[in-house]
Amino acid sequence: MKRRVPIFLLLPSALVLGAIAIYPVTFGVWAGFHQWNWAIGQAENWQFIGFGNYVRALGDGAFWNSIRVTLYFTALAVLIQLFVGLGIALLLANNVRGSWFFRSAVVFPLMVSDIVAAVIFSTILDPTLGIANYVLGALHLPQPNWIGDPYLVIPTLALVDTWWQTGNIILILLAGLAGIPQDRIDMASIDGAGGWKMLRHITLPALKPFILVALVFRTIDALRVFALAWAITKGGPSRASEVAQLYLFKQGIGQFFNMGYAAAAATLFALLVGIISGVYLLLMRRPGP
Amino acid sequence: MRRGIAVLALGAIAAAFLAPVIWIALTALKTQREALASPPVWVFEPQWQNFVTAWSSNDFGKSFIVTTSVSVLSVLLTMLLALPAGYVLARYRRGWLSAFEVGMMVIRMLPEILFVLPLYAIYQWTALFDTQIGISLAFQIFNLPLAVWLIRQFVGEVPVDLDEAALLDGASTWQVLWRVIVPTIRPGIVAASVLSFIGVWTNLLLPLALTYSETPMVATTIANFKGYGSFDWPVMAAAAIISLLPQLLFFSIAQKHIIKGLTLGAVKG
Repeated sequence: MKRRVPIFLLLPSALVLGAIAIYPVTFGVWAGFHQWNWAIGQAENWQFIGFGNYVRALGDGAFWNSIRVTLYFTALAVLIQLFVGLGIALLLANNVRGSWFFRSAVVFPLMVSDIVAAVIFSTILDPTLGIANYVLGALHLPQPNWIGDPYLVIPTLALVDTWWQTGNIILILLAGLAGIPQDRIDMASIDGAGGWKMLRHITLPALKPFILVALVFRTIDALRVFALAWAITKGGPSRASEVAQLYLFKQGIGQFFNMGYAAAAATLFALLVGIISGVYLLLMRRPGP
Repeated sequence: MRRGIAVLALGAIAAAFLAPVIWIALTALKTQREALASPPVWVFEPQWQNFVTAWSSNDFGKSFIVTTSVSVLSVLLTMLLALPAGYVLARYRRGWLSAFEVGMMVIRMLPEILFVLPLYAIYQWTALFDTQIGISLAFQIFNLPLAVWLIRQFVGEVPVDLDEAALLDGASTWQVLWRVIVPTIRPGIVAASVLSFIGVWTNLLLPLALTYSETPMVATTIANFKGYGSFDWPVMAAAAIISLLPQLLFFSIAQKHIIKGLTLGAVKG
């Protein structure tokens, strides 16, 4: 029996998302085709200029810099987190005594807000007053200028992000590990597989779909990085950590109020995020072994 | 032997993950001079008044109350919308329903700035800017799709026979939802509510763009502690610790649900 879909149950959600998400995005894309400067709270000077803003964004070195910085941060952060997360998940899957506590400890940072994570690490990583460099100095190791060195600033933010978000990957991989049937592990160990062999031939292939899911979620999330850069480095030194959302925020409501240009550039960035997600979705669709 | 090594490794890892927060908690109890001392001071008299100072500086106390109120309002709205929507998506199969679902996932994946730039203008025009209603609505952009998705998964685990039986007894779809489904998926409701709640407390960009001094949110007032040249580390640390308390509370009483929600939110796609 095919009953009629009770649309009235769905309608409120659709209306709210339409008003608060779809309408603004549509308006934003439309605004991207206009010369529109929100100076001193005034909405005047709204003038159609076609693809002018898009051409300007694509020719703007600062826009490309922000894209490059974002991609570099994302690739580095997600890669580190995947390895760290896989290692920790495999350790946790041993179900040693106290696993519960250890899991809570690594998931706990997910409860910390982005700005608090930024506040914590800007004190710890302060080059002269921070505890990190004090400890390194006491061990007679080099004391890097974590956030002041243009070559080091993105790896530093990636490390902070690793502390903050690896819990996500661990939880996804633990769900995957829990789903590996015990008899498959038993059979393999009867065949004499242990340690690395087990990992390569049984565990990793079984985890592959979960690793992909973790990659997708973390990549999409890392591309949206904002608060860490805004609060720890303000995009500096120079523009070395000016990630896309920070650049767009500054161009728009954060500093310059070039609303038309910022909207156009934000559309381009969202398209990039969409393309990256699309590629991942295609990868996930492909049937695994 | 192998287990022993695993425990040692896990202990070191847990320490590394907890250390930054413990360090900031210690900082919150020091004087400014002790906080900046090198080598670090380990023995000191706890300065509890840092918490009082933090509460009364930079509108922080007010922002804590506002954020509490916004999170309650926002989560109520999310759940009222997500329960019926998630139920429909779990129980009916139509092409356009799948499209609706995918559309919500896409919204959830897009960068905040894409919504926030136009919303800033729209909110200024409609007087939603810097209001609790306005910011609560804005949080629906990301919280609603996640909550609908979670509710949908939990309803999917409830046998359809339960609905059918109630419908045969003459109940309406509406009654089935509130009298049969809602009591059965209570863990799912907890998971979705708590994650939505945490979503409100942990995002900076939405409050930064859409609120100001009338409706200050914790995320932006904490940032203000860092705004001045020589800021007071212990007071800022105290504010950070206070702002962590709501999430800590929920994490300690609903950890099982949070973990189930976080896992389900990603896996099963």
